[in-house]
Amino acid sequence: MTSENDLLERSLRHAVTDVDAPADFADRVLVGGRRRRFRRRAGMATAAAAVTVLVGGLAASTPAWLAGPDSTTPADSRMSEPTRGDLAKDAAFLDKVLDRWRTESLTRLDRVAYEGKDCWAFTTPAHVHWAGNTPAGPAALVLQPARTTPGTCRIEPGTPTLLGLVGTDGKDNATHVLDVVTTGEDYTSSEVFAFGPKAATLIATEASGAKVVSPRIEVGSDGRKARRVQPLEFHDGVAVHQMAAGTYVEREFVVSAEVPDAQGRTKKHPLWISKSTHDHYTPQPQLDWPKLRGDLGGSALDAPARRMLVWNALRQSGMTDPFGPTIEDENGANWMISAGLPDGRTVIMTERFGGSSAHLYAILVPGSKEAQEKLARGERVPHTVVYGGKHDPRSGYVAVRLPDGQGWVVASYGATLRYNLGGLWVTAQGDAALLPAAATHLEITKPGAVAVVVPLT
Amino acid sequence: MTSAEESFADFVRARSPVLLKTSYLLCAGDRAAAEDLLQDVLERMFCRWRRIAGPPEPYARKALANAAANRWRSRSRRVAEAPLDDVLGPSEPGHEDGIIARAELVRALAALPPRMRTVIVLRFFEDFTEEQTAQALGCGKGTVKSQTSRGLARLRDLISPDASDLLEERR
Repeated sequence: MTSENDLLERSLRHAVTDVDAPADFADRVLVGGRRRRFRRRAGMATAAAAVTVLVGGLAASTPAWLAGPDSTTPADSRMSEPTRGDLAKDAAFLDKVLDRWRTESLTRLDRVAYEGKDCWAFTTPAHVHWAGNTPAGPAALVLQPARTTPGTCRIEPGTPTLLGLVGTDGKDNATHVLDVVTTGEDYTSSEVFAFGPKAATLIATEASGAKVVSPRIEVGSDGRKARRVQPLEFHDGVAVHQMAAGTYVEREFVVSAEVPDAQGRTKKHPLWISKSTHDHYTPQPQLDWPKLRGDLGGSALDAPARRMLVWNALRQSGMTDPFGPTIEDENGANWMISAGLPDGRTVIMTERFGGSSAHLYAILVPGSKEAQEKLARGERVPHTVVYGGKHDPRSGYVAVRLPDGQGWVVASYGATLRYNLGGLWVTAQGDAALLPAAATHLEITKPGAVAVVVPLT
Repeated sequence: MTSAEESFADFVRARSPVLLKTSYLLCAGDRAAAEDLLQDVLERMFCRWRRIAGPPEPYARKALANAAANRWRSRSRRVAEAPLDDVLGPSEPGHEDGIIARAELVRALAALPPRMRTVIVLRFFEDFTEEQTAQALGCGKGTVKSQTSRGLARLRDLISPDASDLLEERR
């Protein structure tokens, strides 16, 4: 890199120093995204309806499920079952639930509609599927056949069955519609809700297929990740489960439709949980390092392939979420450092989350591109994973000692680095560096700040 | 809100400030256009959030670059961009501080053709390699090379002499 290029880079970075997203930007994106998704789903519902009608027409002896224009989807069989749960006979509570449902559910549904009001109509009266006491107060699950109303909204016709959760809203401690999901479609949420204080109360229907719940990832002293699971117990078609306080804040709890295997792993994604709460997640600790510079050599693979390599290496070593079967499920930082080692191997270092903390991992792999590509594809390639321990991102730097005298990988975004070797201070190139194993101290100087010296032990 | 929405919202909250900076340069300093562009990209990502393989940020950056190219194609047939004087803040210190003044740099970027500007931003702000830039824009490496070379030459012409002679082609 030339100093001339540096000028342009620095100038581009300087030009955006005060560019920041508005406070409501995320909300705007979510509203817009829901609108787009709604239109897309509505389109899919139309296609499904067309196929259904065609099949019905060919099988001439099979009557349509229902007469009239709303006849494209069979009613949920649970609609004809009696209300279950320990509050099933509490007429006053059931009346309150249905009243809340009638007054609030349509407004709630319109929030996800595109350019319009009254985008939904209910085709038959709602049915309380379950009503019972929970640790978060009395709650009920309401089934509601519905159809969309393309006449008033820019949406295609569809006839989903809705499942709503009605319970106590922490905002005013009164009964409200807390959440609504549509049932039976691939892209919808499962019938699993988390609600109440810290969203610590779970409700899952038998139809959801939920079997176990795991509150958090546990990271061992060797960096391996594990989960403890508790079985969900169903009574009256519903499982109610209370999680330990603080689980939501750690945001690692999952519900799975699969009992983990002998290694504690599942093969499928956890179920999607509809979370009805006003509490916010505690953000994951993360080093916001968009780019590191250094003269490190390193992996011949591009960044996406390196990420696959890292994920495969960690997974093969039991250091990924055992309930996260694909790289999509992995929760990690946006930075990686790769360096060519004196013995010809390559090291790739990065940060992963688990147990509400950030953890450092360094993966040592053969230096050949061929071997690295194999590991990126998930094939078995000899490698070593060094667990760098729990890490506090507020420190602003990382340092991990590599085995076999291969030195230290250190980095501090935007800082000038020097290291002490035999009493002499040596300047490192860039803000990420591979230091000799004999280095004793690292000096970190952030722009405009006083130098900090860290012992390398 | 579903857990998928939660994770998407977390991603947007955490990374949109950084992504907006890229968008700002791709839109040549038009802040409102930069927000619109990024919002459009993120809304599309929201719809396919569960299907995005791998970390979402590189995906977002590529999508942003592509959206910028498409956007400019359609915009060029419609309205002109907002006058730069409207969108730039007060003038700032420049070369004496070892940087090109923002107003001057952004004005020069705005004068580049959209695709050329995108290449320059990806190469010199995002630090993409020629190959990564070619992949992101769906063009050949040769195109990236020539666009980079021509883009830097144009910037030299557009930026005042004491800074322009510092701009050289990246090897």
